[in-house]
Amino acid sequence: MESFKPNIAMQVKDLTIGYRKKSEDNEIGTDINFQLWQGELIALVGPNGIGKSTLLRTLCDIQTRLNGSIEVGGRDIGTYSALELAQLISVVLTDPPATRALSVGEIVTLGRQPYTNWIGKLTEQDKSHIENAIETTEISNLVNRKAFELSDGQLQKVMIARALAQDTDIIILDEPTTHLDMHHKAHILSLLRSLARNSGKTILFSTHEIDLGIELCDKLIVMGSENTEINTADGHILNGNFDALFPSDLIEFDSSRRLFRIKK
Amino acid sequence: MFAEKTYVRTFLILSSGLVLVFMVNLMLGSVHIPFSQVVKSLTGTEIENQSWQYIVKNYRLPKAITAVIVGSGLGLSGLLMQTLFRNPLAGPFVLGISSGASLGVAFLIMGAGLIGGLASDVLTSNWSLVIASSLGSFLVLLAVMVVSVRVRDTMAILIIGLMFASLTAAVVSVLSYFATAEELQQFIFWGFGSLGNLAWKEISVLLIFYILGCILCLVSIKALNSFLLGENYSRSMGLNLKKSRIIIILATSILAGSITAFAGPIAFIGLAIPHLARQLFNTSAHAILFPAILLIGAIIMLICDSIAQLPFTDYSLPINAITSIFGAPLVIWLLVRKRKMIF
Repeated sequence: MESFKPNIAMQVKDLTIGYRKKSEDNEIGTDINFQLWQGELIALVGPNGIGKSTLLRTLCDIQTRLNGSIEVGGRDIGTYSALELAQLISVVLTDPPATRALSVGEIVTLGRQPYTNWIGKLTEQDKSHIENAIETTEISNLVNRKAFELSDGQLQKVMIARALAQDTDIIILDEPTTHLDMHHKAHILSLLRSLARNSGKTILFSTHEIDLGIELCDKLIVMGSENTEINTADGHILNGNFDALFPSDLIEFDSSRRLFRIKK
Repeated sequence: MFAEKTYVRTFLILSSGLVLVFMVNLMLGSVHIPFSQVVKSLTGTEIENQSWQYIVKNYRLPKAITAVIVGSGLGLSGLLMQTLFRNPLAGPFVLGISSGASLGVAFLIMGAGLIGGLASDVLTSNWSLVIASSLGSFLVLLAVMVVSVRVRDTMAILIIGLMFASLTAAVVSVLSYFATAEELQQFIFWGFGSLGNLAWKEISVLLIFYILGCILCLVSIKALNSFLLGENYSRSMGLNLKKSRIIIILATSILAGSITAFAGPIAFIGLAIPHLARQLFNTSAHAILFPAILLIGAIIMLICDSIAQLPFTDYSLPINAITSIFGAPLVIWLLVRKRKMIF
């Protein structure tokens, strides 16, 4: 066993993800290895259906892994109780809230559930975490609105605020920029970057905005059919990982301008 | 800033409303008893008309208390099911409790002829109906649960419950087909529901189950709130999904099962009360909905009962008809007025 370094937020070793079936396991990704460091903003990119959501769900223990280890705080996440894990990792999923009748304040308050007592009474500390989360995400003007009154961009910010209120070292987001316009995409991603910079949180999110990811993130995890690699944007460009990401007949990666473009 | 909206005023109005309709319920009936005399007989003061005191203490008071328990208990179990299944159409009976009860009672009333061994006075006794109903509910619920643990999806439990309801309904049809007119009538009368058949002894038994169900519901409030975001989010916030699901289903079974056993399958209330509470308080936070539903459920049931006993006449209507005649337009009106369903 390698000894744990205090500034590694998450260590993934020989991870196999997929679905357990009776006859044989349906493996979606194998031999996944990476480390996430404290205060990093990491984008998880890859083509549709490659298993980004499966990987993210596995990392926060919503889905069981098939093999390998996922360590947080020096221990495998399987050794934590659900409640303990909820104080280490928070998530923003693609699932919309089951009901949209909740107010923004109520949704953010739910983030404190791992800390509150049996009936959910808020302490002063809980309240200050909630207020912080609301201020950081700049949604104080929405607090009394119902979720059904919000635009997609606003709702996404509220869900991020809820994750912030949960006060975890790691935040995992599944496609936080889907359905958003250019401005809101950039806004959400720069919000995530400043969160990672200012609060030392480790933020991992999946996205199809590879260009924005290259510009804004400390590292990217590129998930391909052959292998999964974590590196800085420059590292990936050097290794030609982006070139291999999509079939080359339609789009190509322009490494000098660091973005994808359509072949003419 | 938030979550501190004052619901105090609405709660005060509802509480005084409850006291009011409770007293009115005691006053009305085939004999009109003046308010002052009702109060006196409740406090135990001697009143001129001994029979009034007897009526209030042994007939009307137990019935009013039953109405309170039935209305609030069914409302609560409806809320539990709607939140658990994230389905506004769910009610206390989606897990097969009432279909199980009707199966048990159908066997007792109409199946007895087939076996031919039971004496008719045993059949009409209240307790045998209660036992048959509970047994039926319990067995069908058990079957639903045994099948449900094999599925991971909560929605599948809903479908399984509905399938079992169809199954039991089919068995009841077969029994009805071979039943005599008299048996059939007895069974149909049971299906109307009734609040007036409970003596104090039965009420105290029902009360124990009711309190137990309320406590289980109370400890589930936090879990219910997180279910509003969806199961994956609940899990990510440290909730033990399996345990919470079991507690919620247990609470519903205890509340709806015991109420159905003693008062028959009271329709509509369990579905409608949670919607009324959500519209009235404009929230889906369960810490608010819990007391709100207790109050609204009790009030609506008392009003329905007052109407059903057709004041100043010797007739009374089936309570099940009144709950729907009275309740359905109320829910429709609220939905139209607010134009947005809160769920």
